[in-house]
Amino acid sequence: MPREDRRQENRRDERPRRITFRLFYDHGVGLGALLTAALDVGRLPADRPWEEQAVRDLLIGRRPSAAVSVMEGPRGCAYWCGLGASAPVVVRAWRYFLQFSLFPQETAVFLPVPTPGARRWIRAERAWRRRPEGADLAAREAIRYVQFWHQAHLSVWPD
Amino acid sequence: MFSSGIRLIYPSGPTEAGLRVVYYCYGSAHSSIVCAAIHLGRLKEERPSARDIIRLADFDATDTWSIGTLFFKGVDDLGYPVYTLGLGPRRHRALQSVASLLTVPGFGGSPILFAEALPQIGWLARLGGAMSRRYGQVSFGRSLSARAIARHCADLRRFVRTVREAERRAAIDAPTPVLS
Repeated sequence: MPREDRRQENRRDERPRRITFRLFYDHGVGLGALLTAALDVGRLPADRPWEEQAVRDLLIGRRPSAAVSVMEGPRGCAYWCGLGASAPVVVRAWRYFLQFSLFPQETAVFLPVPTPGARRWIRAERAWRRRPEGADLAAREAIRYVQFWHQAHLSVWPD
Repeated sequence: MFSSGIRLIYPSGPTEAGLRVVYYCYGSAHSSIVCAAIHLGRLKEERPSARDIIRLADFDATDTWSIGTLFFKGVDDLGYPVYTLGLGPRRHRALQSVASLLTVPGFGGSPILFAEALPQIGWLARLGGAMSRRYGQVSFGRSLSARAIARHCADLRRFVRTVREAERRAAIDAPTPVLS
């Protein structure tokens, strides 16, 4: 390997490691947070359009929750949940409780995922929450607003 | 145990010895403050007056923006730290989110005993609290809330006794104090 390439390789090794604990949350029921977490761990592609079937498969069997849920994929694991209007209160409390844990504060990030305010998005979230068939509508709407999840994923950095 | 407003959460992963007690309510300004004061022996009188309650340094002292902040109040006679926490209007849902974080694999730490203080005071005390903290009627709201809480002090003492009992039971599994 030429000397310059080796230097670049070494520089790459010096880069800080990936944040170990990533928790995505939204102000809704958690659908946006789930999609962003799936993008983050590689369950949904970052470099090509999403297929409705893949999103539907991801949503089936998962329920919206205020409790923290795990999402595992080829790039590790991330966490997601929907906090509704309690989001600012819960995130502040999380930081305090993190102080008691073995996770150092700097290795954990709580990432807000913006959700569309459109009525059809809210209807899709509600459908997903209420019945398993709601995953169809939720998958369609998730693809319509795909830029939201990519944008949120761009902001994975320590707060 | 949750029906009584008391919930013991064991964090996932390596558990440390000790225990933490957290009284929670709406804004961490009134009911949780008085419960923590009773727990820590700062309100010794059997029937405290409204003035005794107002004299507590942290009574009616938090602001709305600090809801979600965990306040350290002291260490009890068993050696366990006591905290207060405000969780806002949707406190059950918020507690579910907070508790679920503790169960993330590898979180670790010592068990946490959550005790909901708000139902122990009457509607008049809540009204006084809201008048003071939310609507800015501090002097009227504070004294109304303190007087109403003083009237419910027997209920608060009973509740704190239940929490202490749960704490002692939990301490059997966690014999070493966190702070001493």
